[in-house]
Amino acid sequence: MQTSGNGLPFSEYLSQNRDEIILHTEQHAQLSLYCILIAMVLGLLIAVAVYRSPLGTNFTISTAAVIFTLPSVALFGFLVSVVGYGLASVFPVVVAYAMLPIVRNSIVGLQSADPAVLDAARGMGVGSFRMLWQIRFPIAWPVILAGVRVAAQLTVGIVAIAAFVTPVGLGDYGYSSLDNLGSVNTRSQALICIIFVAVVALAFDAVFVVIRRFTTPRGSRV
Amino acid sequence: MSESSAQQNKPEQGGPATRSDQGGKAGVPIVLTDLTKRYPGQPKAAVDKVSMHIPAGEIVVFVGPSGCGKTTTMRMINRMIEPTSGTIEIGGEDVTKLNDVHLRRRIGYVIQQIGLIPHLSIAQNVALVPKLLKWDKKRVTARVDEMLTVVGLDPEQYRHRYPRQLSGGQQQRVGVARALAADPEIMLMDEPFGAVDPITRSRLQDEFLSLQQTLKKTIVFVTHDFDEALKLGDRIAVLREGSEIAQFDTPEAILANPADDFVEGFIGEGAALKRLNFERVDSLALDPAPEQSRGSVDVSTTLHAALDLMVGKGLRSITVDRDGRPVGSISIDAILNRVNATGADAVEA
Repeated sequence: MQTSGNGLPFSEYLSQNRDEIILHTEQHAQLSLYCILIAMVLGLLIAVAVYRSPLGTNFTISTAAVIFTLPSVALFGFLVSVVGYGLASVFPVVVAYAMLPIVRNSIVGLQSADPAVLDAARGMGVGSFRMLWQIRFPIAWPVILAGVRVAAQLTVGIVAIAAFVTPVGLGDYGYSSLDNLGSVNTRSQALICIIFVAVVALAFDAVFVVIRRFTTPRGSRV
Repeated sequence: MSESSAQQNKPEQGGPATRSDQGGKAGVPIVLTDLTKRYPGQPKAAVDKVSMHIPAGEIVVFVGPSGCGKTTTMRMINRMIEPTSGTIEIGGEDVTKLNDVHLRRRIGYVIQQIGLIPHLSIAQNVALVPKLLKWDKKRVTARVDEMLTVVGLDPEQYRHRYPRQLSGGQQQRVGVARALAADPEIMLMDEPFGAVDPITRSRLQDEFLSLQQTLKKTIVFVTHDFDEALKLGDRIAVLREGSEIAQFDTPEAILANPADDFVEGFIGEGAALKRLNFERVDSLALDPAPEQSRGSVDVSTTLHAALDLMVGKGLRSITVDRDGRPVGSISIDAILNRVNATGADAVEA
Protein backbone atom coordinates (compact mmCIF):
# COMPACT_ATOMS: atom_id res chain seq x y z
CA MET A 1 0.00 0.00 0.00
CA GLN A 2 1.42 3.34 -1.04
CA THR A 3 -0.41 5.42 1.50
CA SER A 4 2.14 7.92 2.63
CA GLY A 5 2.75 9.01 -0.89
CA ASN A 6 -0.73 10.43 -1.01
CA GLY A 7 -0.41 12.21 2.34
CA LEU A 8 1.75 15.11 3.31
CA PRO A 9 5.51 14.70 3.56
CA PHE A 10 6.58 14.29 7.22
CA SER A 11 8.19 17.72 7.46
CA GLU A 12 5.10 19.32 6.03
CA TYR A 13 2.85 17.43 8.46
CA LEU A 14 5.09 18.56 11.30
CA SER A 15 4.92 22.23 10.45
CA GLN A 16 1.18 22.15 9.80
CA ASN A 17 0.49 20.53 13.17
CA ARG A 18 3.18 22.38 15.07
CA ASP A 19 1.03 23.87 17.83
CA GLU A 20 -0.87 20.67 18.43
CA ILE A 21 2.32 18.64 18.64
CA ILE A 22 3.83 21.07 21.12
CA LEU A 23 0.66 20.93 23.21
CA HIS A 24 0.67 17.14 23.24
CA THR A 25 4.35 17.04 24.10
CA GLU A 26 3.78 19.39 27.01
CA GLN A 27 0.82 17.34 28.18
CA HIS A 28 2.90 14.23 27.95
CA ALA A 29 5.77 15.69 29.95
CA GLN A 30 3.43 17.12 32.57
CA LEU A 31 1.45 13.95 33.02
CA SER A 32 4.70 11.97 33.31
CA LEU A 33 6.09 14.41 35.84
CA TYR A 34 3.03 14.21 38.07
CA CYS A 35 3.03 10.43 37.92
CA ILE A 36 6.74 10.29 38.79
CA LEU A 37 6.30 12.67 41.71
CA ILE A 38 3.35 10.72 43.08
CA ALA A 39 5.23 7.44 42.65
CA MET A 40 8.29 8.90 44.32
CA VAL A 41 6.41 10.13 47.38
CA LEU A 42 4.42 6.91 47.69
CA GLY A 43 7.44 4.73 47.03
CA LEU A 44 9.56 6.50 49.63
CA LEU A 45 6.81 6.33 52.25
CA ILE A 46 6.36 2.62 51.64
CA ALA A 47 10.12 2.06 51.72
CA VAL A 48 10.47 3.93 55.01
CA ALA A 49 7.62 1.87 56.44
CA VAL A 50 9.09 -1.52 55.53
CA TYR A 51 12.88 -1.28 55.16
CA ARG A 52 13.56 -2.54 58.66
CA SER A 53 11.49 -5.69 58.33
CA PRO A 54 12.77 -8.47 56.05
CA LEU A 55 9.24 -9.82 55.69
CA GLY A 56 7.79 -6.42 54.78
CA THR A 57 10.64 -5.78 52.36
CA ASN A 58 10.13 -9.07 50.54
CA PHE A 59 6.38 -8.66 50.39
CA THR A 60 6.60 -5.10 49.06
CA ILE A 61 9.19 -5.81 46.38
CA SER A 62 7.41 -8.99 45.23
CA THR A 63 4.09 -7.19 45.01
CA ALA A 64 5.60 -4.34 43.03
CA ALA A 65 7.28 -6.86 40.75
CA VAL A 66 4.03 -8.72 40.11
CA ILE A 67 2.23 -5.49 39.25
CA PHE A 68 5.08 -4.68 36.93
CA THR A 69 4.50 -7.84 34.88
CA LEU A 70 0.79 -7.13 34.24
CA PRO A 71 0.03 -5.97 30.68
CA SER A 72 -0.61 -2.24 30.84
CA VAL A 73 -3.30 -2.18 28.18
CA ALA A 74 -5.34 -4.68 30.16
CA LEU A 75 -4.81 -2.70 33.34
CA PHE A 76 -6.03 0.47 31.66
CA GLY A 77 -9.04 -1.43 30.38
CA PHE A 78 -9.78 -2.74 33.84
CA LEU A 79 -9.61 0.72 35.38
CA VAL A 80 -11.86 2.18 32.73
CA SER A 81 -14.45 -0.45 33.65
CA VAL A 82 -14.24 0.75 37.25
CA VAL A 83 -13.82 4.55 37.07
CA GLY A 84 -14.56 5.28 33.42
CA TYR A 85 -12.54 7.07 30.79
CA GLY A 86 -10.32 9.96 31.85
CA LEU A 87 -7.26 10.83 33.89
CA ALA A 88 -8.66 9.02 36.94
CA SER A 89 -7.91 5.73 35.24
CA VAL A 90 -4.49 6.90 34.01
CA PHE A 91 -2.75 7.89 37.25
CA PRO A 92 -3.20 4.67 39.24
CA VAL A 93 -1.84 2.50 36.42
CA VAL A 94 1.15 4.66 35.53
CA VAL A 95 2.07 5.18 39.18
CA ALA A 96 1.78 1.47 39.86
CA TYR A 97 4.28 0.71 37.09
CA ALA A 98 6.71 3.34 38.32
CA MET A 99 6.65 1.89 41.83
CA LEU A 100 8.93 -1.09 41.34
CA PRO A 101 12.22 0.68 40.61
CA ILE A 102 11.51 3.42 43.15
CA VAL A 103 10.42 1.17 46.00
CA ARG A 104 13.16 -1.36 45.38
CA ASN A 105 15.95 1.19 45.17
CA SER A 106 14.66 3.13 48.16
CA ILE A 107 14.56 0.02 50.33
CA VAL A 108 17.99 -1.12 49.19
CA GLY A 109 19.36 2.39 49.68
CA LEU A 110 17.95 2.82 53.17
CA GLN A 111 19.35 -0.56 54.14
CA SER A 112 22.75 0.16 52.64
CA ALA A 113 24.22 2.33 55.40
CA ASP A 114 27.30 0.74 56.95
CA PRO A 115 26.27 -0.81 60.30
CA ALA A 116 29.39 0.74 61.88
CA VAL A 117 28.23 4.21 60.83
CA LEU A 118 24.82 3.58 62.36
CA ASP A 119 26.34 2.11 65.53
CA ALA A 120 28.71 5.04 66.00
CA ALA A 121 25.93 7.55 65.38
CA ARG A 122 23.58 5.81 67.79
CA GLY A 123 26.36 5.60 70.35
CA MET A 124 26.79 9.35 70.22
CA GLY A 125 23.14 10.07 70.82
CA VAL A 126 21.60 10.36 67.35
CA GLY A 127 17.91 9.51 67.81
CA SER A 128 15.92 7.30 65.44
CA PHE A 129 14.24 10.08 63.43
CA ARG A 130 17.53 11.91 62.89
CA MET A 131 19.17 8.60 62.04
CA LEU A 132 16.70 8.09 59.19
CA TRP A 133 16.61 11.65 57.94
CA GLN A 134 20.21 12.81 58.41
CA ILE A 135 22.15 9.60 58.04
CA ARG A 136 20.30 6.80 56.27
CA PHE A 137 18.51 9.04 53.76
CA PRO A 138 21.53 11.00 52.47
CA ILE A 139 23.48 7.75 52.15
CA ALA A 140 20.56 6.21 50.23
CA TRP A 141 19.90 9.26 48.06
CA PRO A 142 22.05 8.39 45.01
CA VAL A 143 20.48 4.92 44.91
CA ILE A 144 16.96 6.30 45.32
CA LEU A 145 17.60 8.81 42.57
CA ALA A 146 18.81 6.08 40.22
CA GLY A 147 15.54 4.25 40.86
CA VAL A 148 13.47 7.35 40.15
CA ARG A 149 15.43 7.86 36.95
CA VAL A 150 14.56 4.39 35.68
CA ALA A 151 10.96 4.94 36.77
CA ALA A 152 10.87 8.18 34.79
CA GLN A 153 11.84 6.40 31.57
CA LEU A 154 9.17 3.77 32.16
CA THR A 155 6.58 6.39 32.94
CA VAL A 156 7.18 8.38 29.78
CA GLY A 157 6.63 5.16 27.82
CA ILE A 158 3.51 4.06 29.65
CA VAL A 159 1.90 7.51 29.51
CA ALA A 160 1.95 7.05 25.75
CA ILE A 161 -0.21 3.95 26.13
CA ALA A 162 -2.60 5.87 28.37
CA ALA A 163 -3.92 7.55 25.23
CA PHE A 164 -6.18 4.51 24.84
CA VAL A 165 -8.04 5.81 27.87
CA THR A 166 -7.88 9.55 27.42
CA PRO A 167 -6.72 11.65 24.45
CA VAL A 168 -3.87 13.30 26.29
CA GLY A 169 -0.19 13.29 25.44
CA LEU A 170 1.81 11.97 22.52
CA GLY A 171 0.18 8.56 22.74
CA ASP A 172 -2.77 10.14 20.99
CA TYR A 173 -0.75 10.18 17.75
CA GLY A 174 0.17 6.54 18.13
CA TYR A 175 -3.42 5.67 18.90
CA SER A 176 -4.84 7.51 15.92
CA SER A 177 -2.19 6.09 13.60
CA LEU A 178 -3.40 2.61 14.60
CA ASP A 179 -7.02 3.69 14.47
CA ASN A 180 -6.71 5.09 10.97
CA LEU A 181 -4.40 2.37 9.75
CA GLY A 182 -4.00 2.67 6.02
CA SER A 183 -5.04 6.31 5.88
CA VAL A 184 -2.77 8.96 4.42
CA ASN A 185 -0.98 10.29 7.51
CA THR A 186 -0.58 7.06 9.48
CA ARG A 187 3.16 6.98 9.18
CA SER A 188 3.68 10.63 10.10
CA GLN A 189 1.52 10.23 13.19
CA ALA A 190 3.38 7.12 14.30
CA LEU A 191 6.71 8.86 13.73
CA ILE A 192 5.64 11.87 15.79
CA CYS A 193 4.65 9.59 18.66
CA ILE A 194 7.95 7.71 18.52
CA ILE A 195 10.25 10.70 18.08
CA PHE A 196 8.67 13.02 20.60
CA VAL A 197 8.25 10.36 23.29
CA ALA A 198 11.99 9.75 22.90
CA VAL A 199 12.64 13.49 23.17
CA VAL A 200 10.61 13.73 26.37
CA ALA A 201 12.40 10.69 27.81
CA LEU A 202 15.82 12.13 26.98
CA ALA A 203 14.85 15.47 28.47
CA PHE A 204 13.83 13.79 31.72
CA ASP A 205 17.07 11.88 31.77
CA ALA A 206 19.06 15.07 31.30
CA VAL A 207 17.17 16.66 34.18
CA PHE A 208 18.11 13.71 36.38
CA VAL A 209 21.76 14.05 35.51
CA VAL A 210 21.60 17.65 36.68
CA ILE A 211 19.64 16.79 39.83
CA ARG A 212 22.13 14.10 40.70
CA ARG A 213 25.02 16.43 40.16
CA PHE A 214 23.61 19.02 42.53
CA THR A 215 22.05 16.87 45.23
CA THR A 216 24.65 14.18 45.78
CA PRO A 217 26.68 15.08 48.86
CA ARG A 218 30.32 15.54 47.94
CA GLY A 219 31.40 12.78 50.28
CA SER A 220 29.18 10.26 48.48
CA ARG A 221 30.42 11.04 44.99
CA VAL A 222 32.50 8.31 43.54
CA MET B 1 53.69 -4.93 96.07
CA SER B 2 54.59 -1.36 96.66
CA GLU B 3 56.03 -0.86 93.18
CA SER B 4 52.57 -0.96 91.74
CA SER B 5 52.14 2.52 93.11
CA ALA B 6 54.68 3.68 90.55
CA GLN B 7 51.77 4.40 88.26
CA GLN B 8 49.62 6.00 90.85
CA ASN B 9 50.99 9.41 90.23
CA LYS B 10 48.04 9.43 87.81
CA PRO B 11 44.96 11.43 88.55
CA GLU B 12 43.66 13.00 91.67
CA GLN B 13 40.18 11.59 92.05
CA GLY B 14 38.18 14.26 90.31
CA GLY B 15 34.57 14.86 91.17
CA PRO B 16 32.12 16.06 88.54
CA ALA B 17 33.19 19.65 89.01
CA THR B 18 36.90 19.03 88.61
CA ARG B 19 38.41 20.66 85.58
CA SER B 20 41.56 19.37 83.96
CA ASP B 21 44.35 21.59 82.65
CA GLN B 22 42.71 22.13 79.32
CA GLY B 23 39.61 23.53 80.90
CA GLY B 24 37.62 20.44 79.89
CA LYS B 25 35.57 18.25 82.14
CA ALA B 26 37.62 15.61 83.93
CA GLY B 27 36.26 12.14 84.47
CA VAL B 28 33.76 10.97 87.04
CA PRO B 29 33.65 7.49 88.55
CA ILE B 30 31.46 4.75 87.11
CA VAL B 31 29.97 2.17 89.43
CA LEU B 32 28.42 -1.01 88.11
CA THR B 33 26.30 -2.99 90.53
CA ASP B 34 25.09 -6.52 89.76
CA LEU B 35 24.87 -5.57 86.10
CA THR B 36 23.25 -8.40 84.15
CA LYS B 37 22.28 -8.99 80.55
CA ARG B 38 20.20 -11.99 79.66
CA TYR B 39 19.07 -12.69 76.11
CA PRO B 40 15.78 -14.50 75.71
CA GLY B 41 16.16 -18.16 74.82
CA GLN B 42 19.69 -18.41 76.10
CA PRO B 43 20.31 -20.44 79.23
CA LYS B 44 23.35 -18.46 80.38
CA ALA B 45 23.47 -14.74 81.01
CA ALA B 46 25.76 -12.91 78.57
CA VAL B 47 26.81 -10.70 81.44
CA ASP B 48 26.23 -12.13 84.88
CA LYS B 49 26.03 -9.82 87.90
CA VAL B 50 29.09 -7.72 87.28
CA SER B 51 29.98 -5.26 90.01
CA MET B 52 32.86 -2.90 89.49
CA HIS B 53 34.10 0.49 90.57
CA ILE B 54 35.80 2.41 87.79
CA PRO B 55 37.73 5.26 89.40
CA ALA B 56 37.47 8.78 88.01
CA GLY B 57 40.09 9.81 85.49
CA GLU B 58 41.48 6.31 84.94
CA ILE B 59 41.72 4.08 81.93
CA VAL B 60 40.15 0.76 82.82
CA VAL B 61 40.70 -1.94 80.24
CA PHE B 62 38.30 -4.84 79.85
CA VAL B 63 40.28 -7.71 78.42
CA GLY B 64 39.13 -11.24 77.77
CA PRO B 65 38.52 -13.84 75.07
CA SER B 66 35.98 -13.26 72.30
CA GLY B 67 32.44 -13.72 73.47
CA CYS B 68 33.23 -13.21 77.15
CA GLY B 69 30.81 -10.29 77.31
CA LYS B 70 33.33 -7.45 77.59
CA THR B 71 31.79 -5.43 74.77
CA THR B 72 28.28 -6.17 76.04
CA THR B 73 29.30 -4.87 79.46
CA MET B 74 30.76 -1.73 77.94
CA ARG B 75 27.73 -1.13 75.74
CA MET B 76 25.43 -1.32 78.73
CA ILE B 77 27.17 1.72 80.23
CA ASN B 78 25.72 3.99 77.52
CA ARG B 79 22.66 1.76 77.23
CA MET B 80 23.30 0.75 73.63
CA ILE B 81 22.31 -2.54 75.22
CA GLU B 82 19.66 -2.30 77.90
CA PRO B 83 20.66 -4.15 81.06
CA THR B 84 18.29 -6.87 82.21
CA SER B 85 18.98 -5.91 85.81
CA GLY B 86 21.49 -4.09 87.95
CA THR B 87 22.46 -0.45 88.11
CA ILE B 88 24.99 1.86 86.49
CA GLU B 89 26.01 5.00 88.32
CA ILE B 90 27.97 7.68 86.51
CA GLY B 91 29.33 10.35 88.85
CA GLY B 92 26.91 9.18 91.51
CA GLU B 93 23.85 9.40 89.26
CA ASP B 94 21.89 6.28 88.39
CA VAL B 95 21.67 6.41 84.61
CA THR B 96 19.53 3.33 84.04
CA LYS B 97 16.38 5.44 84.16
CA LEU B 98 17.60 8.39 82.08
CA ASN B 99 16.59 9.00 78.47
CA ASP B 100 19.10 6.82 76.63
CA VAL B 101 19.59 9.11 73.62
CA HIS B 102 20.37 12.11 75.82
CA LEU B 103 22.62 10.00 78.03
CA ARG B 104 24.74 8.97 75.03
CA ARG B 105 25.42 12.58 74.09
CA ARG B 106 27.29 12.87 77.39
CA ILE B 107 29.47 9.83 76.75
CA GLY B 108 32.29 9.58 74.23
CA TYR B 109 32.05 6.53 71.99
CA VAL B 110 34.76 5.12 69.75
CA ILE B 111 34.54 1.80 67.91
CA GLN B 112 37.02 -0.26 65.93
CA GLN B 113 35.30 0.34 62.58
CA ILE B 114 35.29 4.07 63.39
CA GLY B 115 31.98 4.70 61.63
CA LEU B 116 32.58 8.21 60.33
CA ILE B 117 29.52 9.43 58.45
CA PRO B 118 30.55 9.22 54.79
CA HIS B 119 28.54 12.11 53.37
CA LEU B 120 29.64 14.58 56.04
CA SER B 121 32.95 16.43 56.00
CA ILE B 122 35.52 15.84 58.73
CA ALA B 123 34.43 19.08 60.42
CA GLN B 124 30.77 18.04 60.27
CA ASN B 125 31.60 14.64 61.70
CA VAL B 126 33.44 16.18 64.64
CA ALA B 127 30.62 18.69 65.13
CA LEU B 128 28.00 15.94 65.39
CA VAL B 129 27.42 15.84 69.15
CA PRO B 130 27.96 19.59 69.81
CA LYS B 131 25.25 20.23 67.20
CA LEU B 132 22.94 17.70 68.82
CA LEU B 133 23.50 19.58 72.05
CA LYS B 134 22.59 22.81 70.23
CA TRP B 135 25.85 24.64 70.79
CA ASP B 136 25.94 27.92 68.90
CA LYS B 137 27.72 27.96 65.57
CA LYS B 138 30.81 29.87 66.58
CA ARG B 139 31.44 27.63 69.53
CA VAL B 140 31.05 24.54 67.36
CA THR B 141 33.48 25.82 64.73
CA ALA B 142 36.06 26.75 67.33
CA ARG B 143 35.65 23.40 69.06
CA VAL B 144 36.06 21.45 65.82
CA ASP B 145 39.35 23.20 65.08
CA GLU B 146 40.52 22.68 68.63
CA MET B 147 39.70 18.97 68.56
CA LEU B 148 41.34 18.36 65.19
CA THR B 149 44.48 20.05 66.49
CA VAL B 150 44.38 17.97 69.68
CA VAL B 151 44.42 14.72 67.69
CA GLY B 152 47.18 15.97 65.44
CA LEU B 153 45.28 16.89 62.28
CA ASP B 154 45.75 20.37 60.84
CA PRO B 155 42.25 21.91 60.70
CA GLU B 156 43.12 24.00 57.64
CA GLN B 157 44.07 20.90 55.75
CA TYR B 158 41.47 18.41 56.94
CA ARG B 159 38.34 20.37 57.89
CA HIS B 160 36.73 20.13 54.47
CA ARG B 161 37.86 16.66 53.49
CA TYR B 162 35.62 13.62 53.52
CA PRO B 163 36.21 10.44 55.48
CA ARG B 164 37.11 8.26 52.50
CA GLN B 165 39.91 10.69 51.59
CA LEU B 166 41.70 9.84 54.86
CA SER B 167 43.86 6.86 55.82
CA GLY B 168 42.68 4.44 58.50
CA GLY B 169 44.91 6.02 61.13
CA GLN B 170 43.71 9.52 60.27
CA GLN B 171 40.10 8.35 60.32
CA GLN B 172 40.52 6.97 63.82
CA ARG B 173 42.04 10.28 64.92
CA VAL B 174 38.86 11.92 63.67
CA GLY B 175 36.89 9.24 65.52
CA VAL B 176 38.62 10.19 68.76
CA ALA B 177 38.20 13.93 68.06
CA ARG B 178 34.50 13.35 67.41
CA ALA B 179 34.08 11.41 70.66
CA LEU B 180 35.81 14.17 72.62
CA ALA B 181 34.10 17.07 70.89
CA ALA B 182 31.32 17.67 73.41
CA ASP B 183 33.78 17.26 76.29
CA PRO B 184 32.26 14.13 77.83
CA GLU B 185 33.25 13.03 81.31
CA ILE B 186 33.55 9.43 80.27
CA MET B 187 34.61 7.64 77.12
CA LEU B 188 33.84 4.16 75.91
CA MET B 189 36.32 2.71 73.46
CA ASP B 190 35.80 -0.66 71.79
CA GLU B 191 39.10 -1.86 70.31
CA PRO B 192 39.65 1.56 68.77
CA PHE B 193 43.13 0.79 67.49
CA GLY B 194 42.38 -2.76 66.38
CA ALA B 195 42.06 -2.15 62.66
CA VAL B 196 45.21 -0.15 61.91
CA ASP B 197 48.70 -1.40 61.14
CA PRO B 198 51.03 -2.10 64.10
CA ILE B 199 53.18 1.01 63.63
CA THR B 200 50.22 3.35 63.39
CA ARG B 201 48.57 1.53 66.29
CA SER B 202 51.58 2.04 68.52
CA ARG B 203 51.74 5.73 67.63
CA LEU B 204 48.02 6.22 68.21
CA GLN B 205 48.34 4.48 71.58
CA ASP B 206 51.21 6.76 72.63
CA GLU B 207 49.33 9.88 71.55
CA PHE B 208 46.20 8.65 73.26
CA LEU B 209 48.10 8.18 76.51
CA SER B 210 49.63 11.63 76.44
CA LEU B 211 46.23 13.12 75.55
CA GLN B 212 44.69 11.36 78.53
CA GLN B 213 47.39 12.85 80.79
CA THR B 214 45.87 16.27 80.22
CA LEU B 215 42.22 15.29 79.72
CA LYS B 216 41.87 12.87 82.64
CA LYS B 217 38.64 11.38 81.35
CA THR B 218 37.26 8.19 82.82
CA ILE B 219 37.80 5.68 80.05
CA VAL B 220 36.46 2.17 79.61
CA PHE B 221 38.58 0.49 76.97
CA VAL B 222 37.79 -2.92 75.52
CA THR B 223 40.44 -5.05 73.84
CA HIS B 224 41.42 -8.68 73.45
CA ASP B 225 45.09 -7.75 73.19
CA PHE B 226 46.69 -8.13 76.61
CA ASP B 227 49.79 -6.18 75.64
CA GLU B 228 47.59 -3.25 74.65
CA ALA B 229 45.84 -3.57 78.02
CA LEU B 230 49.22 -3.47 79.80
CA LYS B 231 50.32 -0.44 77.87
CA LEU B 232 47.17 1.65 78.23
CA GLY B 233 45.43 0.50 81.38
CA ASP B 234 45.66 2.16 84.76
CA ARG B 235 43.71 -0.91 85.77
CA ILE B 236 42.86 -4.06 83.92
CA ALA B 237 39.77 -6.17 84.37
CA VAL B 238 40.46 -9.66 83.05
CA LEU B 239 37.06 -11.10 82.17
CA ARG B 240 35.97 -14.65 81.48
CA GLU B 241 32.70 -15.99 80.18
CA GLY B 242 29.62 -14.14 81.38
CA SER B 243 31.85 -11.12 81.94
CA GLU B 244 32.86 -12.63 85.28
CA ILE B 245 35.80 -10.68 86.68
CA ALA B 246 38.75 -13.04 86.96
CA GLN B 247 40.98 -10.25 88.23
CA PHE B 248 40.69 -6.48 88.50
CA ASP B 249 43.92 -4.77 89.40
CA THR B 250 46.79 -2.66 88.16
CA PRO B 251 48.84 -4.13 85.29
CA GLU B 252 51.88 -4.63 87.54
CA ALA B 253 49.85 -6.46 90.15
CA ILE B 254 48.27 -8.73 87.56
CA LEU B 255 51.64 -9.55 86.03
CA ALA B 256 53.28 -10.17 89.38
CA ASN B 257 50.39 -11.98 90.90
CA PRO B 258 47.90 -13.52 88.46
CA ALA B 259 44.79 -14.66 90.29
CA ASP B 260 44.53 -18.04 88.60
CA ASP B 261 45.44 -20.19 85.61
CA PHE B 262 42.98 -18.35 83.38
CA VAL B 263 44.63 -15.00 84.00
CA GLU B 264 48.06 -16.57 83.69
CA GLY B 265 47.06 -18.06 80.36
CA PHE B 266 45.88 -14.70 79.20
CA ILE B 267 49.09 -12.95 80.18
CA GLY B 268 50.92 -15.43 78.02
CA GLU B 269 54.67 -15.91 78.09
CA GLY B 270 57.19 -13.43 79.34
CA ALA B 271 55.30 -12.08 82.33
CA ALA B 272 58.55 -11.36 84.18
CA LEU B 273 59.96 -9.41 81.26
CA LYS B 274 56.68 -7.53 80.74
CA ARG B 275 56.80 -6.55 84.38
CA LEU B 276 60.09 -4.76 83.80
CA ASN B 277 58.21 -2.40 81.52
CA PHE B 278 56.53 -0.88 84.53
CA GLU B 279 59.63 0.10 86.43
CA ARG B 280 62.07 2.81 85.68
CA VAL B 281 65.80 2.59 86.08
CA ASP B 282 65.71 5.10 88.94
CA SER B 283 63.44 2.83 90.97
CA LEU B 284 66.59 0.81 91.76
CA ALA B 285 69.42 1.90 94.02
CA LEU B 286 72.15 2.97 91.64
CA ASP B 287 75.71 1.78 91.87
CA PRO B 288 78.45 4.38 91.48
CA ALA B 289 79.02 5.56 87.96
CA PRO B 290 81.87 3.75 86.22
CA GLU B 291 84.87 5.64 84.89
CA GLN B 292 84.34 4.41 81.41
CA SER B 293 80.92 4.01 79.93
CA ARG B 294 80.19 1.54 77.17
CA GLY B 295 76.52 2.19 77.10
CA SER B 296 74.11 4.46 78.90
CA VAL B 297 70.44 4.97 79.53
CA ASP B 298 68.41 7.84 80.93
CA VAL B 299 66.94 7.54 84.43
CA SER B 300 63.46 7.49 82.94
CA THR B 301 64.18 4.38 80.85
CA THR B 302 62.24 1.26 81.77
CA LEU B 303 64.12 -1.66 83.24
CA HIS B 304 62.93 -3.64 80.23
CA ALA B 305 64.69 -1.32 77.80
CA ALA B 306 67.81 -1.17 79.99
CA LEU B 307 68.00 -4.96 80.16
CA ASP B 308 67.44 -5.18 76.43
CA LEU B 309 70.38 -2.85 75.85
CA MET B 310 72.62 -4.84 78.17
CA VAL B 311 71.69 -8.12 76.54
CA GLY B 312 72.19 -6.59 73.12
CA LYS B 313 75.60 -5.16 73.91
CA GLY B 314 76.70 -8.04 76.10
CA LEU B 315 77.23 -5.77 79.12
CA ARG B 316 76.89 -6.76 82.78
CA SER B 317 76.27 -3.18 83.83
CA ILE B 318 75.27 0.06 82.24
CA THR B 319 75.69 3.76 83.01
CA VAL B 320 72.67 5.76 84.07
CA ASP B 321 72.40 9.37 82.94
CA ARG B 322 70.27 12.20 84.14
CA ASP B 323 70.02 15.15 81.78
CA GLY B 324 72.85 13.61 79.77
CA ARG B 325 75.28 13.38 82.70
CA PRO B 326 76.15 10.07 84.37
CA VAL B 327 74.72 9.73 87.86
CA GLY B 328 75.41 6.05 88.51
CA SER B 329 75.04 2.63 87.01
CA ILE B 330 72.91 -0.47 87.28
CA SER B 331 73.97 -4.05 86.92
CA ILE B 332 72.21 -6.97 85.35
CA ASP B 333 72.23 -8.63 88.76
CA ALA B 334 70.31 -5.74 90.30
CA ILE B 335 67.60 -6.17 87.68
CA LEU B 336 67.49 -9.94 88.19
CA ASN B 337 67.21 -9.40 91.94
CA ARG B 338 64.31 -7.05 91.37
CA VAL B 339 62.50 -9.58 89.20
CA ASN B 340 63.15 -12.20 91.86
CA ALA B 341 61.92 -10.00 94.66
CA THR B 342 58.66 -9.11 92.97
CA GLY B 343 58.31 -12.70 91.76
CA ALA B 344 58.71 -13.93 95.33
CA ASP B 345 55.94 -11.57 96.31
CA ALA B 346 53.75 -13.32 93.84
CA VAL B 347 54.58 -16.77 95.16
CA GLU B 348 53.91 -15.79 98.76
CA ALA B 349 50.65 -14.14 97.90
